[in-house]
Formats: sequence, C-alpha cells, structure tokens
Amino acid sequence: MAFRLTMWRRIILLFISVGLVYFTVVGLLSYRQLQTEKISSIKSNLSGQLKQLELVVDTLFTNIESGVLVLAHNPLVRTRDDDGFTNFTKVGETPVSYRFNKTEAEIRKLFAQHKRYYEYVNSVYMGRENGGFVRSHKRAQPTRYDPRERSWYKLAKDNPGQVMRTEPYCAVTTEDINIGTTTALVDGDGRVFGVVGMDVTLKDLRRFIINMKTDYEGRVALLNKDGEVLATTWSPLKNRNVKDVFPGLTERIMGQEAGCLMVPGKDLALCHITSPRLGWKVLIVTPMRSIKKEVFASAARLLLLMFSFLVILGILTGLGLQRFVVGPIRNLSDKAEEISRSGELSTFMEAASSDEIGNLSRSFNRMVAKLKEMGAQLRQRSDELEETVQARTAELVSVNRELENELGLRIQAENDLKIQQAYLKQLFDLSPEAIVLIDINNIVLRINSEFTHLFGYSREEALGRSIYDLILPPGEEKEGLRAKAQIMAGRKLPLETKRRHRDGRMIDVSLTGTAIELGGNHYGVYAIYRDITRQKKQEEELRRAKEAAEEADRLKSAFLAAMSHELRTPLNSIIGFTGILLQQLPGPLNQEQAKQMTMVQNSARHLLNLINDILDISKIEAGQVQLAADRFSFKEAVDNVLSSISPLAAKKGLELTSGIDDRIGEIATDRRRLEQVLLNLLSNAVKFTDHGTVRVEAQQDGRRLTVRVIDTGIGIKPEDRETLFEAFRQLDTGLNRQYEGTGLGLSICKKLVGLMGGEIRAESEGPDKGSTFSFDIPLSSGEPHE
Amino acid sequence: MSKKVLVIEDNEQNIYLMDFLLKNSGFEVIQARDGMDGIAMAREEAPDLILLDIQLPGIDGYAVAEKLSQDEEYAPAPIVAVTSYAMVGDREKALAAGCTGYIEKPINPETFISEILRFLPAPPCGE
Repeated sequence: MAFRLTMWRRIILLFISVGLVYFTVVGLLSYRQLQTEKISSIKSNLSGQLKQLELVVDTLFTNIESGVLVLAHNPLVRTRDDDGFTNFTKVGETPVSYRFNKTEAEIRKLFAQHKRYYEYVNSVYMGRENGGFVRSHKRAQPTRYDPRERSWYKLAKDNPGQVMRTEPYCAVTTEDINIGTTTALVDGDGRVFGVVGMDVTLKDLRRFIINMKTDYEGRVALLNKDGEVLATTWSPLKNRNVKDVFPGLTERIMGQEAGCLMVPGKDLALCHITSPRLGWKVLIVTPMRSIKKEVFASAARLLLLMFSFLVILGILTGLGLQRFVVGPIRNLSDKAEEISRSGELSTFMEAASSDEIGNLSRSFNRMVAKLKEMGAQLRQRSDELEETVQARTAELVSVNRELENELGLRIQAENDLKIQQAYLKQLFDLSPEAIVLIDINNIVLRINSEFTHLFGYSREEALGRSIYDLILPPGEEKEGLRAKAQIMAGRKLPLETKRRHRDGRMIDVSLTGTAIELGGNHYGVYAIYRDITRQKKQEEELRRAKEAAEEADRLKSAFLAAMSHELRTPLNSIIGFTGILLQQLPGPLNQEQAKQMTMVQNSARHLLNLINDILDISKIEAGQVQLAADRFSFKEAVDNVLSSISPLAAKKGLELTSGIDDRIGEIATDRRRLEQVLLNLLSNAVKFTDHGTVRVEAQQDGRRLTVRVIDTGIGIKPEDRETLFEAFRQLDTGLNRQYEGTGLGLSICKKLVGLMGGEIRAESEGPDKGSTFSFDIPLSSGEPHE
Repeated sequence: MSKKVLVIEDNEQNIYLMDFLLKNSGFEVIQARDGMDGIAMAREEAPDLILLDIQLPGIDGYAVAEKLSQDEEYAPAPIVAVTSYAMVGDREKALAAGCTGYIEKPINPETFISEILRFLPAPPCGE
C-alpha cells in the first residue's frame, strides 16, 4: 500500500511542480504583455472620453455664444433709450431706484427667459455707453457700479463684431467667480453703444462637470490656458493652478495638445486634451490602482483559464500512468507482498508485455526460483545454528548474572562518590574564605565565589590564567614563589601578606594552602586567602590609640613634674624662713610672734603634705609607681614605723603595742611603700584616738600576709565605711576639723595595697567603739623563708 | 679655717635662705646664678662643697654635675643637688649625673645643716 501511494504522490508532485513553474512563467509573461496592452487601451479609451468631454464643454459655450449673438440682434435689446435704463454710477451721490419703465421691464423679462433656458447660466445682462445697466435679476445690493469699467465690457467693446469670453472675474455683490460671454452692440455707423452678455459661474461650471462620468474612477478638471483650474471634481485641484499641484509636469501638460502621463510618486494617471476653440484644457485624473485593478482582472481571467487547462491535463496524465505503469507495478508489488506474507514461492507473474514492466516481471520470476533454492539451504544451516546458540545462551546467562552483581556494587560506589563530591563542591563554593586551585604551572583551575568576591575576577576571567598574573602585586614574584614553596613543603601556618585586587588595590590577606599530592606526584596547590583588611585596620587603629594614650600620659607626667616643682619653690622660702625665724637665728621672738609663726609653719607643712599626697595619687593612677622588689625583714620595717610614730603616741598618752607572728621573717615587696601604708594607718589611729591603745598585728596564712591596726578611738559610722577610702574624706570634716590631715592618706593606702595585689578594709562596731583597719597582701612564691 | 660652700642657684630667695643658714653655721659662702658661672667658680675657688639647683638658666644642674665630675684637672668637691624635682627617678637621675647627695626642696631649716654636714669629709671647725 505504502509503495503504491508513494509512487502516485511522487508522480503527482512532479507534475504539479512542473505545472507550477510553467504556470508562473507563462502567467508573469502574459501579465506583463497584458498590462502593456491594457494600459494603452485604457489610454486610448480615456482619450476618447476626453474628446467627448471637450465636445460637451465646447457645446455648452457654443450654445451660450449663440444665445448672446441672438440677444445682441434683438431689437428690444438694441433699444436706444439709454437714459431710461437703471444707472448705478451715481450711487452714494443721488438716491437710486430701479426704473421699471416698459422697455427695461421687457428686456429684463427677455433676459430672465434666457437665464432659465440655459441651465448653467446664472446671469444675463447688458451695459450701455452712458453707464446704464440692466440684468435678468435684481442686484443683491444697489452699490455703485459702472459696467464700462468691467472686464467683460471692455473686452467686447475692444473686439466689436466678435463674441468674447472673459477670464474668470469676481462678481461685485456676490462671492461668485464668473466667466462672461459677451458681445458689443454696434449701431448703424459702426459705433459701439453697449455690451450684452451671459455669465457662467465657476460653481455652475463644476455642477456641469460633476455630471460628466468617466471610467476607472477618473475625475475631471477644466483649466484655462494659464493652467488655472476653472472647475474640477477632484478636490486637490480645486481653485488652484496646475503648476502648483503638479509642478514637475506643467510643461508636459500645458505644452502638448493632448496626452497621457503618470504622476511620479502619486500613483495617478493623468490624461488631457486642449479644446481647440475654447483654448482650455480638459483633464482626467485617474488613480493607477483602478487601472491596475482592471489589468489584474483581465490577467486573472487568463490565468484561470490556463489553470483549468493544467488541471484537466494533469487528470488525463494521471489516468494514463495508472493504466500503463502504476497498475502493473502494483500487481508485482502485491505478488511480492503475498510471498513475503505466506512464504509460498509458487507464485508466478505473467510476463505479457515486452517493455520494462515485462522485464521486471520476468526477473521477479527468476528471483522467486532462486529464493526457493536458498530457502532450503538456509533451513539446514539454521538447524545447526540453533544448537550452538542454545549452548552459548546458557553460558551468557551465567556471565550476565555475574556482571549484574558487579554493576550493582559499582553504582553504589558511584553514588557514594557523587554525594561526597557534591558535599566537597558545596564546601568549596560556600567557604567564607577565597579558595583557588592551581596546577603545578600556577594556572588557575578552579575558584570559589568568595575568590571572585575578594579579588574581583569572574570565573571566566580567572580560569586558565596564571595566579601570579591575577593577584600577585607587581615585583613580588619572589614572595609568591616563597609562599608556594612553603605550601608545597606542607607548612600550613597562615602567612600574612598582600595580594592585588583586579582594580589594582592591595588587600591584606592571610594565606594558607595545601599541596595536592597523589602517589608522590604533585598535581597542584589549593591556596586559601582570608581577607584581613579589617583586622589590619583595627590593629593600626589600636596602635594609634595606644600612641595617643601614651602621649597623653607623657603630657600628664610632664605637667605633674612641672606643678610639683613650681609649688615647691615658693614653699621652700616659706618653710625655710619661718623655720629660721622660729629658731630665733635672726633674733628673739616674743610669745605671740612665735605662736603665729608656728601657725604659718604648720600651714606650709600641711600644704606640702597635700602636694606630696596629690602627687602620690596621680602617680599611682597614672601607673607611674613601680613597685620595687626589696627583700627585707618585715619585723624591722614595722619597728621602724613604730619608732617614728611613738613620739606622737607618747605625747597623747596612748599605749602603742605590736603583735607580729614570729614565723614572718624576710619578705619580698616594696619596703618604702609598705612602710608608707603602715605609717599612714598608724598615724591615723593615733590621730583619731584620745584614750587607750593603738596596736599593730600581723599574721601569715600560707602565702598571704594580713596586717591589722587596731585602735580604741572615735570609731566609724556604718554609713561612712563605704566612702572612707575615697580621696579628701575625713570623717566629720566640716563639722569638726579637729584632726589634722590631708584626707588623702587612706585613699593612697587603698591604691598602694591594690598595687601590691591586696585589699584593705575598715571595721568598727560604731562611734566611740574604736576601729580596725586591716590589709592583706600576697607574698611572692617561694620567697619567704623561716 | 671655715669651709667654703658654693651655692649654684638662680632663685634669689633660695640663695638668701641657704646663704643665711650656712653663714649662721660658720660656712664661707660663694654664689653662682647659673650653670656656666657655677662651673667657672668651682674651678677657680675650689669650694669644699657644692649645693646645686637642677633647674637653672642655660645649662641645667645635671649638665653642671656631669661636666664637673668628668673634669680630670679638677679635684672634685661633693656635689649635693638641692632641688624641687621630686618625681620618681629624679633622685636617681641626679646621682647618675655625678651628684653625691640629693636634698629635696623645701628644705627643713632645722635639719638642713646637719644634712649637708654628712657630705663633708670632716666636721667644720667652728669658731
């Protein structure tokens, strides 16, 4: 079936293709031929129409001319009652009225009859040499009007004996544009005594032209000899000059008697003819598309005819082919089909004809015989093969089973590998650090997105290029090689260095990496860069801040030194001279002078103590006090302090006792500072105790030394315990300044003990119940010995 | 024979104070108002003791002490710095520059003479 259809289709397709080529070529050629012929026939057709139109226009005016001539010879019109006619020459000077005398009334009636008779005439009139004027109908307004000055009058008067036609002129009282046809009234002596005429307005002329029908949607126009359009049914020409509408064609239109031409770029055809008598042009403007439509219609008719012929020819050819070629071949095909379906090789073709089809049938028969023979051989071989195949199949089945098992294992392993790869890829891509993989020639093989982000190179830009070209700062090749050598050597310590961004700026990076090694072969390097720009910046800021702080500190120290010096210099004089006076070296003092001088001396000393204490506090706060590591006997130090305080205690009648643990021997700390604290606490105790005892105790507990100063003095109010150690606090100051002191002593003690790594406390059971000041400091390890 | 003390000091009141105390104790006192003057006088007059202020116009006390102690021609007398500089390290600085002793201002007129006597080889003879 498929064979038959295909063959049919091919033949038909071939036929249609050939037919189409033929059809196209012949169609195009005949269309061109037709077009030429058709256009020339249309042209001649239009020319014929033009001639007719010209004749109609000519007839119109010929009739009007005849009418004018008839009027000019009418005795009524020729009546010489000149003064009796209506005259508009004096309008504005004297009142004007239409003079309805009998003659004028009759003439008017005559004129009106003519006006009615000629459909396109809108006015019939007469002027006289004295200015009289009679018309077929009343004027719209009686304005001043002298017919002798009008062009129609002058033209006729200058050409007596002829009928003249004016150029279009404007009417006086209406907006009409008129073409007058006039002739002079001549008396027996050959003198002109008036002019009679008829007017056709352009509006009426157009009304006249509208009735002219042309083929091919043509529009008509009437031009005077200057090319001015008198009337047209084609609006682009209305009230214009042909020179303005078709500037390039004026010469060809106006200069020739008749002709047809195409308007370039406008898709218009234009035919014209000159009216030999009127001197006017009659014009037909036709859109080319209507001409083409006509051409196409007739071409289409031809082609339809050809196509029908082609179809009939095709059908006849098809039938012939079916009968003589396709039929026998189909027969052959059916037989072959039958053999292939049933395997029955008994079929034979009747080889009737002696042509190619007949040969084909005979060959077919020979082939069938050969097939029969080969079939027998095949069957035998096939039996043999069968056995072999069975044996092989069994073998294959067992091998196949083994392969399947192996394949299962492999797929499993592959999946595991894929998961691991995906995991590694994500790790690589999402790493917050820039990673690049380079081969042994430093060529970039892979980068992650952070690398792109940090150095500004896209994957496309980076891959395949040398890592040194990309990010190594210019002139730092050695550094790059060194970094790579370190990585290859397996040193994973981060290396802080600089690398170059794509835009040229330097980035501080911390560089680590690892060599890729497999079986002793180097394949390349993973280099990992961390952006430490911010870290570097912070370090720099810290360094600057530290420098600024140090500078501020230095200035403070300098200020303190200067202040100390400047205050001491005047105090030197005050204390020195009061001392000299009190020693009575210059001479004796009376009692009052000595008392007052003592007051000056005490105040000066107090001031000096203040300065010293303030300096001390400032120095401690500024961290300028550095503890010495003296090695000394603690007991000796306590005794030293006690001996300096004892005169004061004795003076107040206080008992001064001490209880130092015998196990405390030599200790290692700043002796001067320790003594300063002790002296401060003891002198405070003595100062604030009026009766009883002041006692110093010390114990060592492991590596801690605890010292207590106990008195039976004024005690401390619970609410004061908090503020006791602040600078310039002396209890009850303001109310009762009976105890001398700067108020800085305890503050200094607290700071010094703190410097030594210890703590100071104050305890009291209340006012007048005495107080205990204690501090403990750590002793440096292994230092003390028994 | 009374001992000769050179006071190098720019403050008139301090000079007067020390001058008074020293003369009162039987010393002979010579004075210099600045460092260069002090060095010149030390060489010319060969005093038994020099009391040296540190803050001086021109070269300071440290420089004076350094120059005098390094002068091989000059048999040096003890130099005692008498100064208002009382910060940490000021004493050490003075000793390092070549001073024998260091007395902090303000001086105590009651103990001043006994303090300077410590730096003299032998007690004054007195009158």
